[in-house]
Amino acid sequence: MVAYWRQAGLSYIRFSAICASAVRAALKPQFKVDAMKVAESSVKVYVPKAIA
Amino acid sequence: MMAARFLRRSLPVLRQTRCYADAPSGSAQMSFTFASPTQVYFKEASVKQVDVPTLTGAFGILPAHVPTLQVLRPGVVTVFNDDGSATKFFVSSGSITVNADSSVQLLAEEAFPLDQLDVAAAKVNLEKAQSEMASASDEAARAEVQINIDANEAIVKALE
Repeated sequence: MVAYWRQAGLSYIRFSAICASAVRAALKPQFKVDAMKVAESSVKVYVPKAIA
Repeated sequence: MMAARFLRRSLPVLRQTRCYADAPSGSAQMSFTFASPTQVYFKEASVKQVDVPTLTGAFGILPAHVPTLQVLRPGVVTVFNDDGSATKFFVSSGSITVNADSSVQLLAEEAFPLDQLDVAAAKVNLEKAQSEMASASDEAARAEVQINIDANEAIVKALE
């Protein structure tokens, strides 16, 4: 049986990311701060413009 | 006919199954590792049983469980320690591996003890997600909202 999100074209990685952010959003305030700090992405995507 | 009966009789021997007279091989120990990227909860610890929520259903793992690889869905992991006490955690997602030597690795993307989660916040998020469903445009967006709804429902269910 195919999962509904798999059928909609989502990968398990994306499923996992959404679940993780849902759990982080449901933390008690004193724990939420630390979790959000860890969760924010420290990778900046830079796409160089093609020449000519 | 005779061949079938012969096979049925000798199948246990061929299959190397244990009979009551055989002592269990190896120690009945489970080496349990449970961690998230930020926190290690158990490291090669000896526990009696672990209950895990997977995409294909929830099941309990005892020592000498059949080797398996599963992915997790939002739910409660219950660890039954050797002294009889049980500790519960909520995991968002991740994977579980049971190896042939009875070692178990439970790697979660996010895992927290139940008392660190807020049921009121989860209910608010659940309602927000349910109202977002109406404005979801295509199938992928609808699936993403549905994942959010399912995760929040699991949190509410775990805390009530």
